[in-house]
Amino acid sequence: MKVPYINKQSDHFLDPHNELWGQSGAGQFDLVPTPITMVEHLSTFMAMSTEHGKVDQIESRIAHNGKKISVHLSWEDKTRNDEIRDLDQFVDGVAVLFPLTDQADPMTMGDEKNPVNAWFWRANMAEPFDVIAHGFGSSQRRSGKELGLSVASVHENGRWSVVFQRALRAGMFSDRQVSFAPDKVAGISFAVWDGGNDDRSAQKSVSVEWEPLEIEA
Amino acid sequence: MKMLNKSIPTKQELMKSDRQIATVIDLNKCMGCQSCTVACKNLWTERDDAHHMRWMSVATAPGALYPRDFEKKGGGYDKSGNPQPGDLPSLVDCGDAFTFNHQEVFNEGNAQNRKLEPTSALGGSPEWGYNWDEDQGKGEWPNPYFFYLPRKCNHCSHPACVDACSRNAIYKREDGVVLIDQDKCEGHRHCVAACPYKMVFFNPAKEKSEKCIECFPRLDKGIATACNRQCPGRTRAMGFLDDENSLVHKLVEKYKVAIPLHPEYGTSPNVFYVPPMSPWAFDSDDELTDKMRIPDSVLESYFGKEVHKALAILLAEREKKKSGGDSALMDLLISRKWQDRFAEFTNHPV
Repeated sequence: MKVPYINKQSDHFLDPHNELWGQSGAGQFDLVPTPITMVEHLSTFMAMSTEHGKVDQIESRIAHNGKKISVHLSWEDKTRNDEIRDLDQFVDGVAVLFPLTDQADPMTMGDEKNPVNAWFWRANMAEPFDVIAHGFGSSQRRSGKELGLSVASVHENGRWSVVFQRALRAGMFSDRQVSFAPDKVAGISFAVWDGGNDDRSAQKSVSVEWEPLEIEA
Repeated sequence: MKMLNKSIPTKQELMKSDRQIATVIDLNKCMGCQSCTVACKNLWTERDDAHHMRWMSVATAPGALYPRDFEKKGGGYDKSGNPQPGDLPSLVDCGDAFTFNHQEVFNEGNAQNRKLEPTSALGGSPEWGYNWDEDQGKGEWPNPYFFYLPRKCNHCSHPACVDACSRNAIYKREDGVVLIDQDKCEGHRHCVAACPYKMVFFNPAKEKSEKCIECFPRLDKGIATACNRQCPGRTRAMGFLDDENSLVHKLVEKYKVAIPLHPEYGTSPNVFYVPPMSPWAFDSDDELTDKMRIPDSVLESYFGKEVHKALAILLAEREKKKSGGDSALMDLLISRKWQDRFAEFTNHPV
């Protein structure tokens, strides 16, 4: 999908309702429940799940202003699960995944030699996580704020809209954070957790392939 | 400490331990005083984010037990070793964490017209709570019955929680203690669902799961766990199962009178119980019978078929002592010196 250059101040992008998002073409992506037997080695109990990953589509718009890239995500979720009041409750969440090498596989969250970087938001948290992973079960959450990642979210009319924003070029850990540059091809994939459906960990909805990103100059 | 730096350790590696620490609880002597519960709570869960947790608990059996109806919440393994799905206990199932209107009643001059009332941590009047059905038990007059069932993490030899953790955050120490690495835990609660004993508790403020740590900082100094040490009823023994001089070894391996709760859950638990010998039941003519009040089927539903053998040994040994003879087993169970119960864990906590 195309990532257009839009000449607006960065904070405008962080408003999910800002009209600038109308200038960016939307992509619709099918999601499937994580093929859970892939993670049986990590948890035979988790791998028994048959009910996870019911969110089956996500809409995405991505744009940049030369300094920052913003990823707008929107999906249907009739129940807003944004707090853990009881011990059996889970929260909604969304993540975008980026490859750090050409061979990284989104379905396995990369592998030892081919790490992936994710931006991860949960509905009960004001700040997002920046995640690095070298395959299933290896993900490490880092403070998104410290790594320059911002997020904004709104739940309206049975839909979540979330915007991630970060500098195009990675700052602190350039080898362990994704970087974007105009005319450089990048990829993205998506994951959604529905807290009302007890989604957590690998029990989620995922897009199975990298969607190529064409970042316009 | 076991090194867990490798990217993906196998479950077998995480479950391995050189030895196995174990606890024996004599249900004939437990009087339900909750000293163990309080000792544990004061030490580990007297925190704003953990008031709903009782890593150590004593409940009345038969009953809902603790957490409420844990026996109906699944987890563990079937006979072939296949994992079984499990449910998560709610805050109320975990006994809630009541607050009381102490200020209103005691400090605002309302003692004559306001009652002391609990409020649920979720707001409103409590629906259920810790020890809600204390001493209710079962059975009809003249044969009512119950026994106290103290429970803590079983530090299983095949812990379902270790198997279930998608983060590989749970592991056994060399001494068999099962721990949750709080830095690795992300609060997904697969372990809570998988533990058939429901002895893993979720901390919603930290979004991490917690459980009995077998007082490992005390063990490392040769001090018994707080629950075991604080028991005034001399019900507790602890030590390594392979230490032939330890009371746990003698009761579990030698005399075979201490048996696990729900062995059918398939996790090889390491808390063992000396089953209760209840008073003789009355028949319909109010005459004493030679049957115990707690029906065999009820005891079997908790401890499996092994309970019959254990009770037969206990009754025979008790009879020896009663008729003026000697019984090494009864002497062990009487346990006159506390040091005899805790193997090498007899140091004082201060």
